Amino acid sequence: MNRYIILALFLQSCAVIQPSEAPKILKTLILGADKIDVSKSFYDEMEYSFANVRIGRLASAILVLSSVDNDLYTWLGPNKERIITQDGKVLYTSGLQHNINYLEFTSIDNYEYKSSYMLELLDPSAIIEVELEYLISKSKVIENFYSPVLDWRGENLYFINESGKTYKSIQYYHPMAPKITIDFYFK
Amino acid sequence: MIKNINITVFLILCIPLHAGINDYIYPHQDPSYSNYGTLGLIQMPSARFHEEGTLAFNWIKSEPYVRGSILAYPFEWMEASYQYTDINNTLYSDVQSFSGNQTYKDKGFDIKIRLVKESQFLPSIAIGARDIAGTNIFEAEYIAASKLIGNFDFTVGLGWGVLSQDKFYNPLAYIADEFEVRTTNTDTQGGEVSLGKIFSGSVGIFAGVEYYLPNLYGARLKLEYDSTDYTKEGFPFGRDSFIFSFKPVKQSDSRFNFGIVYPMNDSISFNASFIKGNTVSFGVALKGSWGPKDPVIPKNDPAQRVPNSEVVKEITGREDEYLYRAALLYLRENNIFLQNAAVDNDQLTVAYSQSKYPSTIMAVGRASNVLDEITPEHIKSFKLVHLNANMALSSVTVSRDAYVRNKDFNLYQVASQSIEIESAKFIKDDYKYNPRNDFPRAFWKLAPTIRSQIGGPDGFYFGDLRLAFNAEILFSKNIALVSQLSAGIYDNFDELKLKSDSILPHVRTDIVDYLKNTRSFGVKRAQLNMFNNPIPNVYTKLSAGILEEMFGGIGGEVLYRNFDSNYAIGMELWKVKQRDFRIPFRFRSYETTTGFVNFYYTEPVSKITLLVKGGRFLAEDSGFNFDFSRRFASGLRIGAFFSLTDISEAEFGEGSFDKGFYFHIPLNIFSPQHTKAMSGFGLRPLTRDGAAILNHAYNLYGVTEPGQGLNLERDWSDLYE
Repeated sequence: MNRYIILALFLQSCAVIQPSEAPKILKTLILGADKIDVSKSFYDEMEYSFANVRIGRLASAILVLSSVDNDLYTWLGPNKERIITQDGKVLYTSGLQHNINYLEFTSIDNYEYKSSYMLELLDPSAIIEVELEYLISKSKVIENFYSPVLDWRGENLYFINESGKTYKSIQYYHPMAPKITIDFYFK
Repeated sequence: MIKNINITVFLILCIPLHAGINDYIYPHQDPSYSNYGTLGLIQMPSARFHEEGTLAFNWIKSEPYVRGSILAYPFEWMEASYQYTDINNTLYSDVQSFSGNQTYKDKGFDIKIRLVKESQFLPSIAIGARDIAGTNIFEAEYIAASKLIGNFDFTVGLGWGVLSQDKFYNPLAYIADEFEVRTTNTDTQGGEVSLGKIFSGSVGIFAGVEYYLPNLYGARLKLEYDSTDYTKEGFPFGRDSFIFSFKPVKQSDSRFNFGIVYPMNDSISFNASFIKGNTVSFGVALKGSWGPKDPVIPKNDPAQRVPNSEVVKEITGREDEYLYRAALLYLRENNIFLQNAAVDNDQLTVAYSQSKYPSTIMAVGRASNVLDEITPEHIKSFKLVHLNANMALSSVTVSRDAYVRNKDFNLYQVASQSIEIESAKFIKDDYKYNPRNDFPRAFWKLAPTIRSQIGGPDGFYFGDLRLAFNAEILFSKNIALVSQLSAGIYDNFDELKLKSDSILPHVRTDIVDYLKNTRSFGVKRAQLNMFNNPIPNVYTKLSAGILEEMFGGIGGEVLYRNFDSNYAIGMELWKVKQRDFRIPFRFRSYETTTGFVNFYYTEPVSKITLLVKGGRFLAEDSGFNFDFSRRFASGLRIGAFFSLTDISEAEFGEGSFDKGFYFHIPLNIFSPQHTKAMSGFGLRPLTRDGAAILNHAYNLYGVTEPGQGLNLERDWSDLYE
């Protein structure tokens, strides 16, 4: 709905919009932000491993792998975004509109199909307990999460390639943020 | 045991709302709206406010009323709103051929001001008035106190006017006898502000509570004790109240009202209520808090990097000409257009123009970024002269080292210490590189546009969607023809039929004829402008052609605006002729001379800009127009205006005097790309002929605004955007 308000404002104001800007603004409002198409040439040009991150419809960016430490992958974005993942799961973010920090976690390999974790929510700040339950197949991990105190529940997906690495994840990382979709490209 | 459980449940429910986890348990905590369109309980007001810079629209159906409200929060302590009410038990007029089935439309303004800010122990306390400067059929004043305790938001208050059901003795009458009796003035054109009767007459008491439900996305229940005297509101008894009224309003069976609010997100909420013991109401509210700088849509518009920067630097170091050409090319890729350039020892001076970045400092930052990547190392500073219509507005000298050193950590405050801003005078001969421009040059675009007629007597909204052809032909750097032609795609103007009853020259009230006759095709503007900056701080504009939808002519403007001052003085004079309703370049017989002395002043703390125009208006009435507006960090501007001229209330007609409000909403906050585009929205309760001002394009105050020293100082945070 918010989109239509913006669209109305846009139409009301066309007399002052520059021609080069109008299609971009309209397209973003109607269709969402441009999907970053990772073509073979794009992949080849990238020097380091990277992640194509899309949050909801309106934000997308390429984050570059900056370090790997004990299975923790740190990805950095062009506007000082920082995301730490483990086996594709987002454990820490900064520089996003809403951010999180997992205070206790294990890797997916060690899961006993059910766990609970303390999750620090930022923007606004709070600490909640999150219960996780896993359904694991060869190609996909389904992670059902539930926070009793917030009555916040959902399903996260992790897609695994033949070598056991997560190449794509679709997660709800913060109760006030839309889902985050990450495609991982390792080099 | 049960008692203990009850206490525990109560304590859990009373967890303070604004702490940590509760932001998630009770999201979308923004205050909700009453059936009168403003923030409040159900029928009763509250002492709640949105954050400053918020705009909202509210639609409520509550028989016999359908109400549309536009709300603005120019300060965190002030709520101003415009109410448009369709009254379904009354005809628009007693002339059947004119009214048809059209029901009565009432327009008015409400205002609420906070006296005490809520604290740990004190409630928020506010006073307010409904239906001021309207027909006063909903007129009421109140003082309300609201206090959040746990997830209960309590409100109590006293009401006057329509809110005085209890008929208690007015405590203010102990102070002055004038408050004891409320008088009614029937000899009015409506639209007057009757300060003499506010808070007078008997008093009613109201109270209520809003209960936030946990984990239900901010949903809440409302209960209130209503002090509305429904025998005073609107046209309560049908024809016995008003000759056009044909049906009485349901009177109250109960003074307790119940309601529920469901916020879909931070912008949209739905509400429903059961009022008076016999009436169901429902509505929807939209809001946007657009004052802060944070964009609604994240920006995806980083500076374009210069590929092979080191190679470019090596080449530009060989000869200045190479540097100029590289600057021309790479700045253009960042939408900054080099006009002239010169290297003087270790300084590169670039005169540029740009129409993309919303602030000059942002353009300076982007230009410095590009120049740092292409200039040889011996260049130590960049002097960036901002040109608009070939007039120099400002000069910003950036220390290259300071710019680069503070870039990675966005330490713009530190960098700004090494950046010098000053006024500028453009002298072409000062530049060694003057790229040739081939004139005339034409720019054009096709874009959809909307014309809106809101709050008129024929209906709340009339509009047409059009395809507009906007063109600008530059004959030289300071002479341009700007035009807009448009063709209609869809409109709902069939129901627009109100004819002017004005006894003044019809300079605005023939709006319906203009709208209807240009449904298929219209020329909004074809205005030739010539700008000049003959001496420092003095700017001039000469214009001729079709200046706006209703007038064409010739005239000009002079503005004195010191670079570092927060005031400006200007004059404008126009000889204009009224345009034909249909034929784009034909004129009607009415012609006049209109002109003003303009005084602008911006108060530095509140950021309120006052514009006073004194002179002769289009209908040949003389007087003053006062315009107050406030600019927010995002660029949003909220303003209101009124005019006092030498015509009588009877000559002015319904509304008594000209007044209204407007918003200028920067589209930059919704765009993934940086843009200077603004969406303008203005509203007058009534379109009348008195105090009408010519709407010529590109007034000098606006043209010079981006280059003012105070505005540059304001925007340092844009340096590394």
